[in-house]
Amino acid sequence: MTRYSLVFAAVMVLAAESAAAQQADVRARLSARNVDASLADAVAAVAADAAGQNLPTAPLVDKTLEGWAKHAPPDRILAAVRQSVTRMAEARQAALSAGMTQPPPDVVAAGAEALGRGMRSDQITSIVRADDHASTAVGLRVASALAAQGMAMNDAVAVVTRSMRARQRPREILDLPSTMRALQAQGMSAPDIGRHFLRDGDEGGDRPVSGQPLPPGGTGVRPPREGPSPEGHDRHHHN
Amino acid sequence: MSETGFTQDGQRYLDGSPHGAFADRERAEADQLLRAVAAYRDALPAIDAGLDQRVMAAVRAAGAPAARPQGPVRWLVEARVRPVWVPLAAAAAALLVWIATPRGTTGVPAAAPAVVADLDTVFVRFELVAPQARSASVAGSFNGWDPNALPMRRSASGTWIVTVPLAVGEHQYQFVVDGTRWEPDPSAAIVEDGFGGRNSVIVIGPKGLVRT
Repeated sequence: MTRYSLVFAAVMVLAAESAAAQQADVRARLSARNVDASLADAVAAVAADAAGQNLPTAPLVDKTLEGWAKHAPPDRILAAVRQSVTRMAEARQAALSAGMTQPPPDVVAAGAEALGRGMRSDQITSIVRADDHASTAVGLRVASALAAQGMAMNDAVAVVTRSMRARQRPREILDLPSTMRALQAQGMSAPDIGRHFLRDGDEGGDRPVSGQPLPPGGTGVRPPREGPSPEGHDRHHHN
Repeated sequence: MSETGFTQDGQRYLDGSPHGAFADRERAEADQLLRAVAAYRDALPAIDAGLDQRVMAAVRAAGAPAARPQGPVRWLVEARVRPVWVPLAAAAAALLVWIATPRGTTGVPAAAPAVVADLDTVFVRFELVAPQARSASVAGSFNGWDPNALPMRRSASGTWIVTVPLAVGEHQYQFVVDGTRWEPDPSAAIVEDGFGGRNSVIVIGPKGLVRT
């Protein structure tokens, strides 16, 4: 047996042990929340397969716990878990094709979530390519959050990638959904907000998207309120 | 009451310091807050033993701290760190902002998460207007969707309230009414949950949430 064969065999043994440990960990986490043993076994098997594809397993545990807490039928929970694996694999592939050599778990999980909200693989690729990967996971989360708030996904991706290219920090990008919320509270429609953000960026090339300038006579972003506001007449309900 | 909603004695109680008497209702709210922080602390990953030394070395290298504001301002901007919160000390700090009760809604869940803090962790106060409910809680991605982890407290007006420390980032959640009914928050963005229901989504930035 050559030296390389021995190394290969050792790696295979370690990988198998790692997968088994991961499977046991998933099962233990689910059992701790009294998830049905057969469901826990099935999810653990799916998780082991996911780990073999270099996909994170924590989102699968979370999805199972969510479904179990909501009393969803086990087969539906398992289907949701499998769908998560499919989406994570697609998200990871999109990140790889964008040049990210080892997509971290948070990027893969955020990409999967974004796919579930209607983002396309090529849009994930755009976000991954928008900076040096410092804000990729945040960018994916924020783009899908903006879409959930009503912005067209194309606009949401454009807004986020522009912010990333402008080297905005992740914490600044995280403020975009709140900014959009504030604009919505002032009566601006989601498409208008998208245009507003993008126009704001256009005026300064790759200037950060902040929405801060108040259009003359129109709506705009107010800074977040930093203090008590006991009246709350400005509550907005989405019904 | 201070701007944060707690009397001075209530704040001392939160700090684990000697304190005078204060109202049972305020104590209940403080206890709930402490339980929420404890739950968050328990959910944190273990920190390696060398962290203290590294942090202290960094602090020493950084030199003397800037002058602190005094009085109420100081309370507002400083981290509320108790000795038992040591694992949170590097990250946890926040301030509560009074959340107004929504007008003209009954029986309709409505949350009002709104906090301001330029830090990694902020306290978010959820409100649910459900006067007829017998119990209410918040379950979400931040507590493993455990409907028992964050029970809400009912105010005299029928609004259910809980304050939760949340990391900056995106979170999904629902209200659980009477232990069985899962309700999304109509004032927040909604996404499909994959089980035929809908989750509410909030994204907390460094400045907290803009209340709308």
